[in-house]
Amino acid sequence: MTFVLGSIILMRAIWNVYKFGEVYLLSRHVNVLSVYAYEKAFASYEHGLAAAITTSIFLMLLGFIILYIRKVLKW
Amino acid sequence: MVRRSLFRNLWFYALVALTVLLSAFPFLVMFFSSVKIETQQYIYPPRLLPARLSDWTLKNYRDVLNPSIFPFTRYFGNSFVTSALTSGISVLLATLGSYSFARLRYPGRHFIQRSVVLVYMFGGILLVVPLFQIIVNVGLYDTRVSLVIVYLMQTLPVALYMLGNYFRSVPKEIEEAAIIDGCSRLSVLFRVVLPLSAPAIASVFIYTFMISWNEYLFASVFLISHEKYTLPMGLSSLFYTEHFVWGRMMAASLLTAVPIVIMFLSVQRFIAAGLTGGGVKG
Repeated sequence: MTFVLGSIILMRAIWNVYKFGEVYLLSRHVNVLSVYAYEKAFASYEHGLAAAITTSIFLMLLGFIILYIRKVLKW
Repeated sequence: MVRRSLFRNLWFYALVALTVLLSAFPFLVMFFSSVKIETQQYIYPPRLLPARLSDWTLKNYRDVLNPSIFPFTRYFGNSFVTSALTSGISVLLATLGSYSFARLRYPGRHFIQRSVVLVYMFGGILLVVPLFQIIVNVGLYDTRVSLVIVYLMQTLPVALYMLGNYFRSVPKEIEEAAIIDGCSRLSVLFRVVLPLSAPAIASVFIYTFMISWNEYLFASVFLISHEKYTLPMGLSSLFYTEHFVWGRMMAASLLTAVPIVIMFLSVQRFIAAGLTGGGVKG
């Protein structure tokens, strides 16, 4: 039970950081990282900066992703 | 079933009711806003139900379906073609791929299988910049084909994973019997395993359809011309036009949600029933 709950919470946590559509469509004033990256990429066309932001999002989550792979997928 | 005391039962049902209410409330608001007249949308304190009989209206639905105000049918068509293509191709590819994961032995099988799950850990926002550059350079910018490709990329990992798990649950003996009777691997897959996996195929199809139906991020990045918009894009663009009215917005949203709900309801019975029960004796 703890395992199932834990793996779902971990998975949802990772995915909620990536979440873009819901945040962006509900309010343009909530600056989460994914919205920031999107605006940099497609409002001011700074693709390099946007790529840097998204890479940092990924690095930020890397620990959680490794945890998920180790504990839930059991590699 | 475990017997519970009356008090615990009440507690349980109260929590269930609360959960249902929390998840259904936005839909109720959406529905009632879509059938209210305009002046009723802004009254304070807000009311869920329109106050008088004369405050109910179907005008919002007529407006949304009127092409000079909102090209709903065009967006609907775009969304439908994109989603149907994506789910069809996704189911076909995932069937072949996951069957090979489940039953065939070849070098690198585990590696490929794991990489597929790993792809799921990369959210859409991480890939939007590189994919945008690829799509532009390939010359697919502002085409609906680009959306199908990207949705396939997004949905295939889960489709492969779901189907692979299901294929493993199909008894090996049935397949062996078919091979002894002279079937090739491919005809085992299409004549024996696939018919038995109908519930899984249906759920993968619906899952893929739903993902591509609701997708906003890539549609907003890859499409520029209005006549190619999918429904989520169309809805958000309605928000910023002079035709914006809450009632219309809600009517359009409700009509957008309907196909998915219908799909779910029509196959729910089908998904719940297992098909392989009793297939193997002894």
